[in-house]
Amino acid sequence: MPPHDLRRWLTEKVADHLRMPPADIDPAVKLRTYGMESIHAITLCVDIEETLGLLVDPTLAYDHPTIDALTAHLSELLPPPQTNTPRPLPTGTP
Amino acid sequence: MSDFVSHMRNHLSDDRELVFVRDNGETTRLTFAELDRRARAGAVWLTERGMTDHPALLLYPAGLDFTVAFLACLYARVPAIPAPLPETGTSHSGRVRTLLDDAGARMVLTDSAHVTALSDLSACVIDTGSDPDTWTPPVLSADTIAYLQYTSGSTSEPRGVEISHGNLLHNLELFRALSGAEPPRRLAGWLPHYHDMGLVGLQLQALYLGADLVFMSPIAFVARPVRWLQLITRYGADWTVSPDFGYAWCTRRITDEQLAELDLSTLTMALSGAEPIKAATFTDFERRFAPAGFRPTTWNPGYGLAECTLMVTCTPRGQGVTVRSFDPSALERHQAIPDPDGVPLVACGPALGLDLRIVSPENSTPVPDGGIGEIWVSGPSVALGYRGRPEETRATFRAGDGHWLRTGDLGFLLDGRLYVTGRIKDVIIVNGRNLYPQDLEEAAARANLTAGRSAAFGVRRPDGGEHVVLIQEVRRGHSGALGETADQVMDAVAREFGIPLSLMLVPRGAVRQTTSGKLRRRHMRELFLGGGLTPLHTELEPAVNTLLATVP
Repeated sequence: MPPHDLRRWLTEKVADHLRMPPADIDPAVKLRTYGMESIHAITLCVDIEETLGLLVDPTLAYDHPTIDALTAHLSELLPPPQTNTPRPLPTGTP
Repeated sequence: MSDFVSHMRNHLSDDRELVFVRDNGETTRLTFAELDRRARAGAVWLTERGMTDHPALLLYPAGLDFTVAFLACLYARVPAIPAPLPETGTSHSGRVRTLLDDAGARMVLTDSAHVTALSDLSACVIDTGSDPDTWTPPVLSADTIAYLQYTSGSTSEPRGVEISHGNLLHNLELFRALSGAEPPRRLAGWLPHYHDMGLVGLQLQALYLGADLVFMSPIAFVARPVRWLQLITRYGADWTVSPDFGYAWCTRRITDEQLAELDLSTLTMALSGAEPIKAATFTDFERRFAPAGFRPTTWNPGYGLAECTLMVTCTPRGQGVTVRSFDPSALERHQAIPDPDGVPLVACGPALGLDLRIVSPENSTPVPDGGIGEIWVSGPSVALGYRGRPEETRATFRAGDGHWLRTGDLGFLLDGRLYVTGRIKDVIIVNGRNLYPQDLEEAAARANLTAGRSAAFGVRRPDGGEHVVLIQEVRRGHSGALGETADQVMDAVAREFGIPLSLMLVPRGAVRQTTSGKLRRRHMRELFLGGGLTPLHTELEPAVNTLLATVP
């Protein structure tokens, strides 16, 4: 998942858990400000495990407390995105 | 029979079992006969170590090892102290030491997976390799302490409730009586074993009844709440217990696909307690899970507290929920006046086998019918007292003519049923978890050593949930420094307790105390809600902001 998709996906998930519109979440503001609590933090870990296939620590949302910080951290853990551009054929093949 | 050990050992068989379902779905099982064998061997080991009558602290993850160790303690007349397993790398070990000192505990028991992490506490793994047939039953009476239930883990005011064998048997019998002529056969749940409802309402109730118990960890439940209802489905459970939060969490999180696989038709008792019960939680759950066979008559709302072992009142099987509505402004004046358009309150059932009294908190005289007052309880389930705290014990357990327990909760009786309306004690309840203001204040003090006194209390949000507010004294400073202080305190409390927090920074001297130096938390709460505080800086949760805006 490219970083901007990851950011949007995280924002939508968190907004759904906190029952607020995604547009109201500032990616630079700590999620606890919006009422994030441990049950939401654990649920977000489950989302990450199920959708991204990453096993993360339950303290994730406290170690990386904003959408920006979560995006940066998870981007590092995810394998680099596959490019869909077809590799040019080597020249000179028969 | 006056002790739990003799009673339980009457039900031993190979066809009753405890089943623990791990987070990955694997199960571990123990028949009652095998559990008894291991508990006897463990008791021999404890007795050889001279532990008789000396408390032992039990720090275990969710699972069968806890149950074996707990029973081994009872079999050896070692008062057991169930407590949460400290997370590695946190400041919890200070609290564990406070518990050890307060209880005079001599030994810390844990499982083999955690013994190294707890080596600074000299924790050991209970050895069940001894010959169980060398066990001799200890002399136990109704007054013998079975275990200590700590209601506060704070370093300033830890309070361990001493539960005797007589208390335990009486309360377990009250539970059994709820189910009528046909006792439950299979219990299912996820509540932690260090929580009074998880320990008494699930683990010990199963052993008392001679019923199967299928259980899972609280974290696994929070992560995937459908797993709880899958346990009920797969094992055909007929009894479960949870705080209100657990039922609401299922309604909120379980998907249509998951719902289609569930069968809750075997369930005949779903107990709800340990926190304020919302009528909407029941109706929402019923609507959502009716297709899975859940019946509205399954609910058993109740009320209780650790100081009364667990249960004070509860709705018997098959009666369903009684909801009555009351005039909200009259409730504020401590009067219960029925009003069809008013606030719905869930009845927590009658007191069966215990005496109940509603008493004016000001002058300790009984209030007339329809009046709201403090709930007082008397009877054999009321615990012996707080360990090593004669003054607190006298104040809480020996009220009135000397044999009444002051619960610190407010309520009223109507048609013989108890309605709980509020609280005069300081505890705050979030998602069924008791939070003590002292613990929150200590965490805030650790986060910012230059800050002054603080006072924590709970406020009820418009959605009915409780929310923590902390009033923190600071030195006056520029707004940047105040913002930084607020951030430090909120980060620390959010991380340690996993709850959102509203914070107000106030000048030194603004947090009021009594002349004897006791914090006036309730007074601070009134000042906060009434706009009577002059903040230097505030960080309020949006829902709390609306609460303040509605104050006239």
